[in-house]
Amino acid sequence: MLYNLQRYCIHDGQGIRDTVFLKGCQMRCPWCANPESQLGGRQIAFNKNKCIGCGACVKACPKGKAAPEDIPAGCDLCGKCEYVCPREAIQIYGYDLTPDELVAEVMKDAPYFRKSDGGVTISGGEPTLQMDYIAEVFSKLHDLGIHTAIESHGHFSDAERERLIPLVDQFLIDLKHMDSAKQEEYTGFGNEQILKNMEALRDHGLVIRIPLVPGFNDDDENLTRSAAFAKKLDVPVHLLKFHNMASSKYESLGREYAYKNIKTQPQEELERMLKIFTDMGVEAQLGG
Amino acid sequence: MNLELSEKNKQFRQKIIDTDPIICPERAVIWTEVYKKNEDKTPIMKAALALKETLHRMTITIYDEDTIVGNQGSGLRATTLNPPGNTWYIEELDDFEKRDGSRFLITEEAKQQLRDITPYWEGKTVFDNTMGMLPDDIKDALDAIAITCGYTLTKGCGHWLLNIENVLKNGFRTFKERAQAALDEIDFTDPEGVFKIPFYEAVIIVCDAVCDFAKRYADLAREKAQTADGDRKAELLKIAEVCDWVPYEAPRNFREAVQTVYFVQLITQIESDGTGISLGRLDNMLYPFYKKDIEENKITKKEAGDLIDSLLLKICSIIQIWNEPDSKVFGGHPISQALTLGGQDEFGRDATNDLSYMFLESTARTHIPQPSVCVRVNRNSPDDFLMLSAEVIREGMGMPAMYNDEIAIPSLVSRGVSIEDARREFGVIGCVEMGVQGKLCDFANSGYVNMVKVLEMALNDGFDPMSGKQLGPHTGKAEDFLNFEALLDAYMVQMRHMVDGVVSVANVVNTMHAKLLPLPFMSAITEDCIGKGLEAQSGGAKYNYDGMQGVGLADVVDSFTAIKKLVFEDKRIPMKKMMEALKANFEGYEDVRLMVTKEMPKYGNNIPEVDNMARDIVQEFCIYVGKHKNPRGGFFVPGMYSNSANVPLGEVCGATPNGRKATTPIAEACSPSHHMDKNGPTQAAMSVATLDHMLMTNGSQYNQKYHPTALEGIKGLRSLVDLVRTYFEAGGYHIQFNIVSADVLKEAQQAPDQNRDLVVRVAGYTAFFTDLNSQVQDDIIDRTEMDFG
Repeated sequence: MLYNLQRYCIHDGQGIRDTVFLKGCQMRCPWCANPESQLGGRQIAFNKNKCIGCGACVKACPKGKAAPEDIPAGCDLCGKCEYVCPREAIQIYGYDLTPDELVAEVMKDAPYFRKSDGGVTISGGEPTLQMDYIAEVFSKLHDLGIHTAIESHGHFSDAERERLIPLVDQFLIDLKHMDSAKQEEYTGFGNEQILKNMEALRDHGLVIRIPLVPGFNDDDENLTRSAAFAKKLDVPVHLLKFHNMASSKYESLGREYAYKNIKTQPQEELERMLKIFTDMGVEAQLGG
Repeated sequence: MNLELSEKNKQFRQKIIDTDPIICPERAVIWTEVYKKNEDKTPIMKAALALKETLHRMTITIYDEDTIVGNQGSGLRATTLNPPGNTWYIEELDDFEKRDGSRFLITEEAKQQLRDITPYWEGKTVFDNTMGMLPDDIKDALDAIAITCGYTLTKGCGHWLLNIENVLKNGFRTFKERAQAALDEIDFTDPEGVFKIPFYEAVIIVCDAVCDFAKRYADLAREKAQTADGDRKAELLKIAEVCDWVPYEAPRNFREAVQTVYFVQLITQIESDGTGISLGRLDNMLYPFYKKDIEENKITKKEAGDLIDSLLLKICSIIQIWNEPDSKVFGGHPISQALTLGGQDEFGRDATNDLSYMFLESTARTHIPQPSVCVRVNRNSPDDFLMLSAEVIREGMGMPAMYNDEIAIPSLVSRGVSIEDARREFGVIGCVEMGVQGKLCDFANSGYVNMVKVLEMALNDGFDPMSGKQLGPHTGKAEDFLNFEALLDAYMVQMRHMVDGVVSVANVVNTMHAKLLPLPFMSAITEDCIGKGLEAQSGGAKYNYDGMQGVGLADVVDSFTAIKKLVFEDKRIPMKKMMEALKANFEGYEDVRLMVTKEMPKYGNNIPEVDNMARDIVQEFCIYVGKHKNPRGGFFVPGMYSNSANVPLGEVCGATPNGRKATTPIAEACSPSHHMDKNGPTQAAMSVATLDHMLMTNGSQYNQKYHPTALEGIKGLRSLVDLVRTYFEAGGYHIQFNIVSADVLKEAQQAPDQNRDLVVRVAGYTAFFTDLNSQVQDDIIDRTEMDFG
């Protein structure tokens, strides 16, 4: 199941890319920028800022919706409220495409991929939760000569990793924290398998991505340890600055966002963090 | 890229930005006097004498910051008026200062002068003579805005892609000598030659008048030098030396060449009262002068860059006025002085040179809406040049716009242009029109066909519900069509009828221009007027086009798709209900509106079924337009661009089957309907590239709007270049980018005074955002802001 297909992605991986966002992730990182990606199934979101109170959704609902923000008991996500909304205030996340349908969709951008050495990135959620699906998509794309990349939290099994290696040209994997206990405390999963996967992928197009989360992993100690790890593997690092643009998405899903009031790190602070890596001889950059 | 202007240019730029445009009556007054005094003379002789007298008597000014001199009227941003064309201004004298957009100041004295001269022109203007000849049904179509011919009915022909290179190589002395030599060969016993006599005499008069005009600046510079000190004194004496020589004599160095360019550009405006007066490939034609000066150490690169900056700023100070309705079609003082860079030579070799880069840098440095900078892209264009283009685009002025040689050259060849001319002389005219430098007379803006109105007529048996008039032939009521093809056939019949309407008006009005507004100056420099002894608008030019545009493509395509699927294939909505919904403007028919807006595929999403229909509609239009001959031995050429006409053309149209509400703007140019390109910029561009742009010799236009972050870093620029190249390989002709966030535009709307220098791309041209009226502003904000990854 997907929740988005973003075209003309130019800041994630090489060339002009299409990024496919799959739905469902087993981690629950409190800073997550895509809260709509976490649940595996379809779900409904309501953006009260767009709502003009016309009541069309209430009238259209076969299950007795009481107000625009109400999700009535027995809601089966029939989508009638989304359909009638004149302002796109109601949105249902999650739709299915077969591998062939998805490949056909992204191949519409093939002329751009070929011109720019771009390709297709599958992101999430966590794409490896839909392993058979992405294996089939990647395989078909490779048959068509298209560059493939995956964005993953890195917590997948040895067998899954070995299955992906021949299918994926670039692995963009998050290094959230060097301290396994700290990572587990925040995300529910330790980092042992992630670090192991990274070591095994060092010669297979690995890029380490570090989301710089204020107060969690952006301290000098963790960054220095991360840099040393990247240095040991001799792979490039992308430092991704924090942003809180997901606030309204959390709100539309009826959820609290713990990082709502947390600000992006100042540019000079980001430069300083970057310097920790470059000083140790790591090929690092700000942004993807 | 050096973005720092010289101190003088910085001051001059600020002066332009801070100056409100004014209306200068001088040209109109002098023109009237001369015509009154010379009623017995031939029209071309009257025109030559009027231009001579104007150049001799008009106010001339040398501004303190001037290196390049020349001015159009009695103020820095002063428009002229042209009563022999149309005296529309007389009705609007008290409204110019009250306009919402495209505002002009005018003094009471100027108003009185204009009131005094205008009665003389009654019944003598191009407009009066045209209207006196047109049949009622065509007037009805004009009134209903099913077609518009507003441009040529109110303004001069304009749209010249000047032969500046000819002047740079020869000077006006040569033209005078050629005219004199030809004159010496003919006499009044020669029946074919007799009317060439006043033509050649007129050419000789204007050549001398041009010389006199430049010498007035030389004298003024010397006079000012007497009271100036130091550097400025030397500068003024230099100006005097330059203006004593050019443009009568051919320039000897880069500075004289740049001054020549400006004189030709300026005098063309004064003579013709037209917009779209375009400069052509200045990088190419100025390069020999630059190269020689650099090699001989007579100029530094920095000095040459300053001169280019001065030239662009002076070009920006030229301004033209439109009447109130047309100021909505062409919002924001667009005078579309196109400047073309890059491209190839006559043998197909890339012709980009140092000046191509320097003009681009100057575009970023001056950061002004005129001239309208265009870049020719071909398979050999250097990557550095395109990357610099992208870098300038990122500055947010919507410039340069990118043009595809691989479409334009064969398109011109298909319209009778030699391959050498097409490769070497292709330059952009006005907004997006394909031109041939110095060899083409092109009434490029002869009219628009309102394609959405045509659709309404096809659905209503040729009747227009808004105006309540039968505008076209009876093609049957929508409810009686047995299949979709019947509707499509009806559309084509109505479309052909409206194309015929534009052709009919254009044949009359463009001939009236030749008869009543001859252009001796333009004829002196355009190939091959002196050779033929014929005025440019009368057939003197080597190539002759009249252009017409279709507007509203996406609404028509999306409406057809909706009807085809919902009414005929799936039978979910009976035609009767669809027609009722349109009549009710979808009030009470929300179910129908939802079905068409939410369920139907739309043009702009790379869906072959829909895009191919768009291609067919454009193709039928283009082929039919191209079948029509024009009065000068040439023919009509089709285009698909709208300027901001999509707003006023939409105001007269009822609701359409794609869910568009009555009187709202129709789709612009080749672009998808607003907010309907749901698949992002790459897919929208692929849809637009599906159209056969080679058929659209009068130009096709496609805008994309990006948030500035989409162009961040080298990667952002690289991706934009790759996007342009991919779009062009797929068959696109033109693409331009507005790099500005909707928030910035909204802020500018609220606080116009703090945002007077915000430049946006409206359509085929750029304008100061605050000069646009609020509807056009809203329309721009509303256009889909492309998302970025």
